[in-house]
Amino acid sequence: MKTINFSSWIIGVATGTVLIGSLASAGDVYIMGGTTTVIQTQQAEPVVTSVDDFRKPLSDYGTWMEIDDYGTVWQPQVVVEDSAWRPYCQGGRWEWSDRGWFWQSTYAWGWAPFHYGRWACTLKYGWVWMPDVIWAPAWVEWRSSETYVGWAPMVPAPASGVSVGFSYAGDGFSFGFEISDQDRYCFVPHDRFWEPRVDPYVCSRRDTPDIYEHSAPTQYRRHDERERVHPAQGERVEAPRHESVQAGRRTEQLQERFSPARVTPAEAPRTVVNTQAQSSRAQVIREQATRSNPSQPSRMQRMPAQQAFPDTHKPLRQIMDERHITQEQVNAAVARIKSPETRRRVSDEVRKRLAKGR
Amino acid sequence: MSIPKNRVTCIVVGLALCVSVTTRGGEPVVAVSDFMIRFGGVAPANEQDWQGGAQMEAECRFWQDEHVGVALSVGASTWQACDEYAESGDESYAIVTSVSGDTSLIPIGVSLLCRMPISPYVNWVLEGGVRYVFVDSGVIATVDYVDASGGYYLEDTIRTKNFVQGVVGLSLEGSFAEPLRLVGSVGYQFDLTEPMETFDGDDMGATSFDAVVFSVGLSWDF
Repeated sequence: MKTINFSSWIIGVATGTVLIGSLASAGDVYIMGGTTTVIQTQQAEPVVTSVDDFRKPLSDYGTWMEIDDYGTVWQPQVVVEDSAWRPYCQGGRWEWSDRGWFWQSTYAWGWAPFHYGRWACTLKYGWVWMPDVIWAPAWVEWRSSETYVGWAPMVPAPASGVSVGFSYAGDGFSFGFEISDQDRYCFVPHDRFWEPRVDPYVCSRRDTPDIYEHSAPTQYRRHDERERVHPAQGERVEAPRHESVQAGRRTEQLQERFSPARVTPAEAPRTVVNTQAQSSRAQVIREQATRSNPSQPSRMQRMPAQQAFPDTHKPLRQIMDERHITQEQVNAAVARIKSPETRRRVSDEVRKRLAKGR
Repeated sequence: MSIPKNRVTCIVVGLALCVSVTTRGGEPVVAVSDFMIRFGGVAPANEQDWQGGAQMEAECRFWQDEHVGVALSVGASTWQACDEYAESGDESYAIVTSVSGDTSLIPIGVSLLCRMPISPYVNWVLEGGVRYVFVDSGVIATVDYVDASGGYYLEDTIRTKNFVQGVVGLSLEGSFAEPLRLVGSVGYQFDLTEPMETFDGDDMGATSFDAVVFSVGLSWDF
């Protein structure tokens, strides 16, 4: 879809100028298309201090390259393998956080490109990521209609302040190619927004223009921690912070039983010891998230959560800061512990150990 | 082991009904024994915990006269648990729990039978009885816990204690080739004691195996 539309170009220049001006004047506050996202800079991510901090961790999962207009960018291997891949679409889900909607990626490298920097779709390379050091739960814009909610990677921050920033602002063009604003969007039905995997429910590209036309930019509202509000219309929906899918009596009791508030210092070790002693089928595995701190005691020895952290509801970010735990470590641990592959592998390992009588 | 009063009342009334019906005629004693085996499905009343199941039952029936009999019963059934998955947490932790699997039951017990002929070849048989049910649980629960300092993965069986069950049922028997009879039954089974569940040694409350049972089978004299 190649068009050269000078009116759109002019509109794009104007929009980009507003954007640049907003960025320059607002500091931590980005104002885009009626969407206001408050981002705390620097304090949010103590580890990433420069874009060079991404270079080594991401090298195993993609390619760093220098391209015109954008400078240093990184392209994940998945883009090469799947031309239909789009950021914030495959390999993840939306979760509500105290800072807004958080894109919980299942990729091992997902901790960085979905929470720092910007994504851009180039004609030659496809989707590439431009690193930045400011963390956010997700760098996306929202739109909604009565039926659908949609999101799109935010416009790349201008590197030179000349043309990059408004390449996508409207029906504009950039250097011989165009990606329309609507093409950036993923739309899903409202009732599918919570799905553990949203990509199966993303509307086809053929339907996207029509849905886009009947949608409007959505206010990205901030809410209290316990309030979960749909990003589309500000409607309160019946869902906890972490979605419950087919929860029943048994899982609810397990949730109650194993929540940190219920674990007492006496119970924590008993849970493990009794399980291993009484049942050959019982399997307990500790996932060590804090690999950088090998001296930390194991689950069998360590204190339960509320004893280690007297304020059980202390924000994870604060705990991470205090204990020098990186977001990458936590994300990796969560992804690892939740993956079916890990469950199978862990189960097999434990069965082998039990079979050997260890 | 406490037995709810309403359930005791129910089974006593059922058995009394059988006795009252079968003793009114004063028919001559006809001592016949038969063996019945039937297969069927169960429709759980507790749909929150169980999706459904299948059941087999074998009975040796000893008829005291044309109407009254007693039966020794042994059976086996498997119940498919409802798959469950839940997540919870806040900024400091996350818990993911899941439940899946099935449970095998082996009920052993006795029944009082009431036979009501409606033709020389077709009978209604009303049955009321008590079963002791051995439970072999294969329902597996998993708990994934993660917080800033680490996490753990726990997988174990949700064990269910053996319990006592009451059964009432109505069968239609038709003789089609002596000594074989075709049997079709519908019944209801209910817990007389609560099947308590535990996970990792902790009480998880009671489940229920109340269910409507549909079955077909064969019986033959011996």
